[in-house]
Parts: sequence; C-alpha cells; structure tokens
Amino acid sequence: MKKILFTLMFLVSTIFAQETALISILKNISIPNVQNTINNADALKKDLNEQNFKKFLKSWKKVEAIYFAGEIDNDYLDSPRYIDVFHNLKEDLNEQMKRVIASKDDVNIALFKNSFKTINALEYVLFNDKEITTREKLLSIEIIKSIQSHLNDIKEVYTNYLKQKPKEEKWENAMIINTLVASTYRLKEWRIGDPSGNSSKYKDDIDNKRAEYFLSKNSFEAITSILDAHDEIMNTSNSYNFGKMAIESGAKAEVMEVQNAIKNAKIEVSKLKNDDFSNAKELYNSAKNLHNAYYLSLIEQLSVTAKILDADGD
Amino acid sequence: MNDLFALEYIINPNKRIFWVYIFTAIAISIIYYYYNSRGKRVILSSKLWLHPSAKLDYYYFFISYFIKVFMLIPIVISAKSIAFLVNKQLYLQFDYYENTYFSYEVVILMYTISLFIVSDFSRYWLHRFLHTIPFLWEFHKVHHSAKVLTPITFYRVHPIENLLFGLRYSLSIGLVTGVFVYFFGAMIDIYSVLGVNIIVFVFSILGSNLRHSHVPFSFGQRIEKWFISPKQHQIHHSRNFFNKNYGGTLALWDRVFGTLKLSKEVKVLKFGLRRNQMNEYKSIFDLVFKPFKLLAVKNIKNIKKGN
Repeated sequence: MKKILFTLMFLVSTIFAQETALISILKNISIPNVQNTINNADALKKDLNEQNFKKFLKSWKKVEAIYFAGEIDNDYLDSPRYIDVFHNLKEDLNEQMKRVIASKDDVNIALFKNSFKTINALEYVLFNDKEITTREKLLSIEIIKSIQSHLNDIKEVYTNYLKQKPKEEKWENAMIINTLVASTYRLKEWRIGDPSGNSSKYKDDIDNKRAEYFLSKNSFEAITSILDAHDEIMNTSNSYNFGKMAIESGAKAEVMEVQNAIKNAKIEVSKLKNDDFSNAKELYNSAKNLHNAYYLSLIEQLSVTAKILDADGD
Repeated sequence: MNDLFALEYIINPNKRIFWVYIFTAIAISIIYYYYNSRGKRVILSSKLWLHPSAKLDYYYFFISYFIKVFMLIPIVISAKSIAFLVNKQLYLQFDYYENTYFSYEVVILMYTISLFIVSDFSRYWLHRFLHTIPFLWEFHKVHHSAKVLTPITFYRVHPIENLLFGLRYSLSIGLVTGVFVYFFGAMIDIYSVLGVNIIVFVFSILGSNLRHSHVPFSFGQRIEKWFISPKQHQIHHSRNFFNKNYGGTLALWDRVFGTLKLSKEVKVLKFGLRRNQMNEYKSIFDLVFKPFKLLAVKNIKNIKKGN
C-alpha cells in the first residue's frame, strides 16, 4: 500500500525546535560530512592507497547524496559534476584518462577538462593497473586538489547559509524532500538498476561494468554510504533532523516507513559481495520502496498552494 | 468551528466579500461617481439595498452557507485528492522526472499563472454550460433571478451549481497541481498576497464586488477585450445578453469563443428574468426547490408529448 509521508510536514512545525531542520542538518550533518571528506582527501594525498581511496569515496558519497548547496546558491548547482561524473558523461572517460597518463604534457595541461579532475578520473588513474607510477601520483594529487577546492566551496555555501537570514522553512523542507527523492531515484535506477538489469533502460541486461566504481570494486560501499546519509537525516536517534521534524508534525508512521526502507536496503546490500550485481533484485526493490516512500509524500504540501477565490459561480 | 461561520467571509481574503475588496469597491465607486453623477441616486437609495430581491440575497447567503458546509463540502472530492491521483498516475506511467532546468522562482511563477489561467478557463466553460444546457439552466436561473444586484448576489447560487463549481475547482486545481508536482516535486508554491494567488488578489481589489452592483464601471474598450470589467458582467446579467460575457476574469475566452460584449455596446441594463418567471423566485424555498419542480414539470410534459 502506498502511504503518504509527512502529513503536516509543510505546515510551520518547529514550535519546540530552536532551529529549522535544514539549519540543524547543515550544522550537524552536512558541514561535518564535507569536512570529513576534505580530511580524507588530505590523507589520500599523503598516501595513495586503496583504503584511503575507499574512505575518501565513502565520505564524498554522503556529501553528494544530500547535496543542498546548488539550491541554496545557484552558482554551485554544477559542483557535484565537477567532482563526480557518474552517469553524466557521454564520452569514455577511461579511454581519455589512458591518454592523459600516457601523455608527456605537464599535469596541469594534461588535466584540461573538468571531467579529468573528478573522482571517476582519479579511480582510473589509481586502479587501471596494480602499480601507481610517478606520473599517476602527480595526476592523482592534482585531481584531489581540484576536488578539495570544490569541497571547500560547498562548505563555504553551507557555512554562509548559517550566518545569513534563513529562507522560509517551507522552502527549506521542500528542498530537502526534493533532494531525498532525487537521491533515491539515482540510487535505485543508476547505481543499482543499471548494473543489475532492473532499470527500465537495461531491463534483464546485467553488466557489472555499469556499476559506479567497477574498477576499484567500491560500488556497494558507495551505496551503503548513500543509505547512511539518508539514515543520518531520517534516523530519530540522531540530532534534530528531517525525521524528527516530520514526527513533530504528526507523521510518525510515515517516518518509520522510511526508516524501515533504509534499514532493509542496508541489509540487502550487506548480503551482496565483490561488486557483483547479478543477485541485486531485492536491493533494487528495497531502494524502490525507499524512493516511493519519499516521493508519494510530496502531494501533502498542496493544501497551502492552490487557493483561488471562492469556489462559487459568477 | 470558528471557520464555520458565515461572517468569516468578511475576514477571509479567499472570499469575494473580504473587507479589503469591499473597501476598494467602495473607493472605486466614489471615484466613479465623482466623474459620473448619473445613477448616483440609485446606488445610495434604500430602495436598492432593501429591495425584496436584495433582502432575499442576504437571507439566502446564510442559508446557502450551511447547505454548502454541511451538505456539499463533505461530498465534493478535494483538489488535493485529484492532484494526488494525477501525480501518481504520471509517476506510474512515466516514472520519476527530475527538474534540473527551471529555478524555484520560475516554477512559482509558472504555477501561479497556470492555476489562474486553467481556473479561469474552466470557470468560463462551466458558466457557459450553465446557460446553454437546459437542465443546468434551471439551476443557474436562480442566480439570474436577482432583480437588483448587490455584492451578496454573488452567493445567490443554487446548491447544485455550488456542487458543480466545487467539482470544477477540484478538477482544475488538482490537475494543474498534480502535473506541477510531477515535474517539480515539492518546490511548488504560488506568489500570493494574504494567502491568495496574487493575480486573483489584484483583480479582486480592482472592483470585483462591483460586478454585482449598479455601478457601471467599465475598464474601457481596449482593456475589456482582455479582462472582464464590472460593467461587462452587469451586461451578462441583463435580460437580453445572458449569452454574453461568461468570463470570470479574462475576456479572452469570450473573444475566442464568440461571446464577448463590450460596455460601450450596451446602454440600458435590465436585470432579472422575464416578469412571469420572476414570480417563481420570491422566497428561499423557491430558490432551493423551484428548479427541481420546474424540471419535474418539464419531464412530465415531455413524457406526455412522447405518448
């Protein structure tokens, strides 16, 4: 049964809260997550190994999954694409990075395209073979620096929002829910559905190479991180967040439905190993349930919008 | 329960007789009569405001309010339900759609305008059907049976017509909202003043209450081709022009579908139905039950003719 989420979510609901859900999320979740990613990038720069890459990647996925900076400040709408081009690039990045590595050009010149300075490019440089050459090290460090610069921008957008007069709470909540819906769609369709052959685009056509981090075999790690980010926003044992705000607004059952969907998806992903999506049907279904739980809630904010003078005649 | 009180209409910006709209209507009238003294006596006369037809409007306003609250609202499907159905169907048919092109401000602007246009368009057609479909005309006749016009005449509407307008509202608003939610998610809102669509608010303060009045306030020929003026609606209430100016706010629909009448084309206005018909709408009982009786009589006649 399709349930409607967050019955009164868009009504002013924070009588007892010191701050809005977004302010609290930025303070307690978003900014720490960005800082953590910057720190992990530093660690990776110092030691370019698999573990450090995994840590960096996992922290970045949490930032990306609940990215608000583009809505807060339109200048930063494209920042995630400067860091990560998964599913957003028509060219063969691996082929191009092969040429970048082989080229004798200076690192700065060789990395002339934005897509060459993304985490996907970094993955190729680090994992295209077992050895990391001096040139690959130089390229990696330059890529990480570029990513860090964007991460600093994102952090600044969040920090500035906390300093400024906040926007309407209704707008904030609408933005959060749109972000959550979009994030779960990409999770379901791009990250799980495409490699596992469950998406509408690749029905019954399984191909692990379509997975987000096929080279480094970190795709399930990335999925877990995204689910963790949703958990941070919806889990009511954490700091004041969207889940708590929704419960205060009278939507306890609906929040529990979302929490269960996140929990189930985490269980399903933990069952899968070695970045093999051939048995990911259940994971796809659980991600779909999570997406639906968020999406079908949108309608509840309609009551405030559609007033036209008198429903009588003339 | 506070909301269930008819006088709430005066303090609710979503209602036609909200005090601000009444106030601006009075202000416009004063300015109008400053330049046009003709007809001034009528508007200030107790014969107008205490005319039996006007008094019937006042009484009926309260009665129809309770009919609406206790009998109609519970059965009219809500705009929210329609929006939910539309959105869900789009989602199930075409999967999720993510807007990455339009900004929040643009979405609000598009939604504000779309709501207004679709609502005004559906209002035009329902109003036209009420005149052109004989069965519906019996109910709409109640509204046109007002011999004199006051702002309260707006509410001299048969419950069946209220029901139809309620459905029209739900369907039009629900459809637009469902489509917008599908394309733009939670980021939909309207530009509003006091919680009312800003376009509707502007037209409401520009003398919407004069539509049902004896102040023949015209917007001038050029504007009247685009927007219905109070005088144009008065023309619609005039016996010879029931089939003109069906529009709510935009005159565009009347222009496109051939029912527009400009103010300058009509000099004399005679409100109400034909004299013999007027006798049929003299009490609240008449306003509510006469249409059913007339329809029943018609049916019996038709059956007899058939035999």
